Amino acid sequence: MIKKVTIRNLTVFAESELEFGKNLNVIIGENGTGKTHLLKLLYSVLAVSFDARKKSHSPLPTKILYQLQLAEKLVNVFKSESLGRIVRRKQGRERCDIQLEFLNSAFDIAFDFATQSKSEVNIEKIPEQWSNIAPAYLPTRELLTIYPNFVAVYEGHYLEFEETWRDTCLLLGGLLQKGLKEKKIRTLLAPLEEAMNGQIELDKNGRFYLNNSSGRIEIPLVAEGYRKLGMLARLIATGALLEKGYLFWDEPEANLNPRIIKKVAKSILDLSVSGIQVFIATHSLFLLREFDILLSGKSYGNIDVRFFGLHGFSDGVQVMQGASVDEVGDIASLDESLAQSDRFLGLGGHDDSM
Amino acid sequence: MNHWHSLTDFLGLEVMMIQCEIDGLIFSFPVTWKITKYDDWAFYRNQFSRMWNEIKAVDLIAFDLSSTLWMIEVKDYRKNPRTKPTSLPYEVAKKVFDTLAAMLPAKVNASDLEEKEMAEKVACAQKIRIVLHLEQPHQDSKKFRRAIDPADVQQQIRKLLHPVDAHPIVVEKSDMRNLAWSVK
Repeated sequence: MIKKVTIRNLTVFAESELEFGKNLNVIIGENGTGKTHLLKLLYSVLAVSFDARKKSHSPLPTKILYQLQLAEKLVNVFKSESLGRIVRRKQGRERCDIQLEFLNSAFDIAFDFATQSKSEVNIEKIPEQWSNIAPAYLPTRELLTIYPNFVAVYEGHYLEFEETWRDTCLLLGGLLQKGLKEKKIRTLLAPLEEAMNGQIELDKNGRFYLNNSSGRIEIPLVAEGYRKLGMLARLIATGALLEKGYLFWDEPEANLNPRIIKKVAKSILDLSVSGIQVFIATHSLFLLREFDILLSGKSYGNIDVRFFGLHGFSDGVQVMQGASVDEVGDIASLDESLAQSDRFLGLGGHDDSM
Repeated sequence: MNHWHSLTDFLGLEVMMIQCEIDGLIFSFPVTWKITKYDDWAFYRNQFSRMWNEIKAVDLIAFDLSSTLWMIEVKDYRKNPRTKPTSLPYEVAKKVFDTLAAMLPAKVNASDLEEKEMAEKVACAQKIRIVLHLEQPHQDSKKFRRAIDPADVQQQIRKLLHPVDAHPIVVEKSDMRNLAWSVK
């Protein structure tokens, strides 16, 4: 579990320290305040550790390996032209410093890089062990339709897609989890399958399908909202999101109607209490209110939820954080909704009571 | 011909309620409650609000048997759409803030005995609840069933008044939630 991140001079962030909740972390902010960058930063660090454990011959993390792989991962996930491009721009040279603290301090890491850095970060503190948990990153777009052959094409060619797409496609293609854990998976999957009215199946031909009572529908013909749910369902079914792990989800609400958002809110909370540390970035007042409603009930008594409000200023983004959405400053979507009421009343709306 | 508006009227039970009128709306509270129109208080009108301009007051202060202090503000957009929806939560928050600030001085300095006693009760409150009674004109538009989404206003008030009441509510005649009083 990630306890805390300290950021200095990353993209829009000047200096910020974020303390995360064990279960759910909700990042709120207008466009351009760095929500996605935050998710990508955390994801990149976790993904490097997991990948290196699989590929490296070294049983323990080494500086050289981290220096190169972390730099490469950050560039591929942020899709910047070089590593130095994600340092916050000011006049002259600048350094970006990042520190991550984990519940288990053996995973703690600190590194930095400068505006002129191309392919290496400087490791200040190296983790004592590799991570054995694959983090999952769900981008705003669904990936089930592009899945067939995507990983192979991505590996073989230069594509402008972020590496998170490739990584998540790899997870989507995982084998279904069998055995003892199946019961737990069924519990998490049931509400999603009910919402999609079917189950997601990966055919031997490499394409996804939605199976239900009326037959088998190829995934491109399924509504986009269901495909997004399908991604989450698939990650649960393959055990990628089970018991321990990390889920980063950028704007879960994108392309979903309110009925589905309601289900997604519950699934996110259920996952987070099942042992997955969840990070979401959102604009949606509807989703935030769903969380509010669910959290005020008794089902999620001890859940550790943190909210982060990102606010853009000329000297960098400021982060306000707290245990409730009331503590993180103005919410743009709420302000805009009220401002729209101002304008609407300004039209002199009809009044049949007078 | 005599029309009984309801069973309550028929049985003459209205005498069992405490009624008060705010902006043409009739509020009926259980008799066991203590109700006061705070902005009619002599202490508020003659002393507290004269300290400087812009000191405001909530419309009603009510006290139930479990020592909960209810601070009730009434806004009727059918009659008086003066306040912009964006400013409404701030206005309510300011009224609550100003009213709370007046209670200790009223307890100590009010010359009217009833005002003094009410302020003493407020000082011993076990819980504070904020209620905005928001009436709106009916809208024909499908996009805006109500011009102002009560949930937006409620959320903004909650953010502003979190340390006072983490669960303020916005109600209207046709949806009073589980509140103990009614409005006509």
